[in-house]
Amino acid sequence: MNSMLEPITGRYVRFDLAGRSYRVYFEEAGQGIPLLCLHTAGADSRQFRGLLNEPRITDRFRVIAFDLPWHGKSSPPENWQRETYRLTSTMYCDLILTFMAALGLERPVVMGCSIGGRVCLNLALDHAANFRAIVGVQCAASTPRYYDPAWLAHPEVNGPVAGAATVMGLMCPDNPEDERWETLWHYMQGGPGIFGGDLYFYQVEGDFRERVKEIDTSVTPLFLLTGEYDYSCSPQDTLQTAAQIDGADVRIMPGLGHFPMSENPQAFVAELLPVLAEIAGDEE
Amino acid sequence: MDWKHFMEKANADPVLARQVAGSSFRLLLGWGDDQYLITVHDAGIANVKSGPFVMPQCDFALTGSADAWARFASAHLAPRDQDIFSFFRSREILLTGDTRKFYAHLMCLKLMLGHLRSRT
Repeated sequence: MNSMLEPITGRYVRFDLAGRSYRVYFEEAGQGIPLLCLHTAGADSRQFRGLLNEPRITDRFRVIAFDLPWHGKSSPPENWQRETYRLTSTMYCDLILTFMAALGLERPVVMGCSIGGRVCLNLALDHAANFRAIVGVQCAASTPRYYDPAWLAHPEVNGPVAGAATVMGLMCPDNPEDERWETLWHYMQGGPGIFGGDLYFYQVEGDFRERVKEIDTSVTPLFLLTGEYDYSCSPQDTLQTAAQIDGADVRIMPGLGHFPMSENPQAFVAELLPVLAEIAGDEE
Repeated sequence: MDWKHFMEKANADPVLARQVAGSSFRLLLGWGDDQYLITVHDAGIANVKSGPFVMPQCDFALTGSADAWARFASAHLAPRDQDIFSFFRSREILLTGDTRKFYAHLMCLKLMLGHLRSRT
C-alpha cells in the first residue's frame, strides 16, 4: 500500500459578527509568518492545497486558508434559508478581520485570488496597517459584466455544473488536467446561489476604480500577480489598476490563468516564492 | 473545418460522453459568412449541417467573425483565446437565442467546442 499523511490540519472556529453566529472551517500548515489565503468566488480553501503542502513555503510561513461562510465546510449563519446571499465589500472585510481576531493572527500576510484579490484592494485601502503585506492574485479594481450569473440559479439549470462550465475556460488549457478538473470539482460542490452571490461583489458592488489611487504602499507593500490566460481579470486589467497605485509591484505570470494556485500549484509556487522571500526580508 | 473529423473526435471523448447524456439542443454556429447547424442529441453530436439557412430551427446561436473563430479553434492558442466567454467579453462572439438552454448545456457545449481545435 502506498500512503502519505499530508501536513494539513483542519479545524472549525466560531465567532459572532453583526449579531450573527458563524462556524468557519479553516486549514493550516507550517509555522512562522502567518499567510492568510482567500479563495475565489464559489469555491473554497482546497484551492490552496498546493501551498499548504509546499515545504518551501511552510518552513517559514504559517499558511492558513479558510472557507468563507456559505462555502466549502463553513456553515451559512442561522436563517440563511430566508435570504438571498450577496457578498459585499463591508461584509467580506469584516469576515476577514474577525477571523483574524478569532485566531489571534497579528499582521499576517494576506493573499487572495479573484474576489479574494479584489478584497485585497479594499483591505489595502481601509485596513492596511493590519497586514504585513498584501498579495492580490488575479486582482483588478473592477470587472465588466460580460455574462449574467443569475442563470446559474435558474431552476432548469444545474447551477454548480454550469458554474464550473462558466469558469473552466479561465484556466490555461496546457496546465495539468487533474489539477484543472480538481478546480472544477470544487465549483461543482458549491452551494446553490453562492457563486452568483459572490459575483455581486465582483461584478457590481466591489468597484474600487475611484479609490485605488488612495492606496499607500508605504504602509503595507502591495503585490499584484496575474496569470496571462485570465480574461476575467486580464493582465491589462491588473496593469491598469497598478498604474494608479504608487509602489505597487506587478508580476504577470506566464502559463497561468484565473486559478493559478489550483490549476497549476507548482508553477504558481515558483512565481510566489520570490514574492514571499521579499516579504520575509530576504536579501536579494 | 473538417466537420466529420470534429464529430468523430467529439463523439469519442469520454469526458464529453459523461456530460452529453440527456442533452438535446441545436446550436447555430455563425463562422464569419458561413453557418453551421450542430444538432446534439442524447448520445452525442447527431449531425452538422452546413448553411446557408433560411430561418433555421435552433435553440441558440454563437456568431462571430471568421478571425475570432479561427483564433478560438487554433491548435496554438494565444492567451485568452481559449474560451468563448473571453470572446463574449470582447464582443467578438455573440450569443443569441435561448439563454436558459445555453446555460443548461454549457459544460457539454464547451467540451464540444474544444474539439474544434485541430489537436488530436
